[in-house]
Amino acid sequence: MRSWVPMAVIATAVVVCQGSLARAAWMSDERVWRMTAGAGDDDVALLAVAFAPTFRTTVPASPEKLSGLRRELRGWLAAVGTDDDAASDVLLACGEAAANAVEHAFPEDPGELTVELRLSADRRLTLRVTDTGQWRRVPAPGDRGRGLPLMRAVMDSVLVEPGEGGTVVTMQRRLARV
Amino acid sequence: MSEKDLARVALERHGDAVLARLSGEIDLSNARAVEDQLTGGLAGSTAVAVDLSGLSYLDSAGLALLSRLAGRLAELSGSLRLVVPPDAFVGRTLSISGLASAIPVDETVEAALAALASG
Repeated sequence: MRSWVPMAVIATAVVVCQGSLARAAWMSDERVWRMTAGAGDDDVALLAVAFAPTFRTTVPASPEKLSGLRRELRGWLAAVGTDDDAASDVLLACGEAAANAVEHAFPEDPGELTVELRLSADRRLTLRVTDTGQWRRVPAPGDRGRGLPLMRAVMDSVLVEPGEGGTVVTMQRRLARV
Repeated sequence: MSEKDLARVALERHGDAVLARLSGEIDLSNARAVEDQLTGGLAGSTAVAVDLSGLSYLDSAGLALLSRLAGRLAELSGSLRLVVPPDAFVGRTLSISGLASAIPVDETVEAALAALASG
C-alpha cells in the first residue's frame, strides 16, 4: 500500500525549517521518522526545503554597541554550525569592520551600521557591513591600521566600497561542514 | 553590558615584576580604559607579564594597546611577555596579527615570570 504525505505536513515542515540549517536537518529527521512510521517497505518521497540562513541587525554606530553585536553574532554562528576557528575568524572580521564604521562616524551623529550574513547551501558565508552615517573625510586618529589586514587574513575575500552615504564592506569565507 | 564590565584587569606583584591578568573582551570601546588601568598599576615596574588566557575577544584596538605597552617598556629597557596557553581564545588573533612574533609569548604564567626574573 502506498503512503501519501498530506500537503499540510510538508507546508508545516517548510515553515519550521526556516531560520537555521541545523534545525532544518533535525526537523527533517524527525518528520521522516514520523511520516514513514506506517509506511512499511513502501517507497517514501520527502521534499525537504531549507532556506539559506541569514542574519541581519542594525545598531547605532557607537563603540558600546560592538559587544552586543558580537553576542548576537556568536549565537547565530553556533546555530548554523561553525567550528571554533571559523567562528572566531568571522567574529573578528565582523568586529573589525564594525569598529571601522564606528571609528569613522561622527560622535555627535553616529548614524547606524548594519551587519548582514548569509550562508549558502554550499557553505559559502557572505558577510556585509554597511554604515549609513556620515563619514569624516579624514580618518580618525588612532591605531586602526591593523583592522583591514586582519580582515584580509581571516576571510577568503574582502571588498571595501566607499560611497557617498557611507562604506560597504563585503567579505566571503567558505565554512567547513561540522 | 557596559564598557566598564566588558573587561577586567587584575594586577599582582611578583618580586620586581608585575603580572596583569586580563579577562573578558577588549575592543574599541574599552581598549583605552584597559590600557590606563594596566599602565596605572605598574608603579614603576618595567618587567611585565600580561596573561591573556581569560580573554574571549581581542580586536585591533587591543592589539595596538599591547604593542604600545611593549614599545614603552622597551624604551625603559624593560620587557613585556604575553601568557597565551595553546587553547586560548585569542591565540589565533595574536598569531594572525604577527604580534605573537614581535612580543615573547609563554604558555604559562610561571614560565613568563621565570623568564622575567632571569632577564
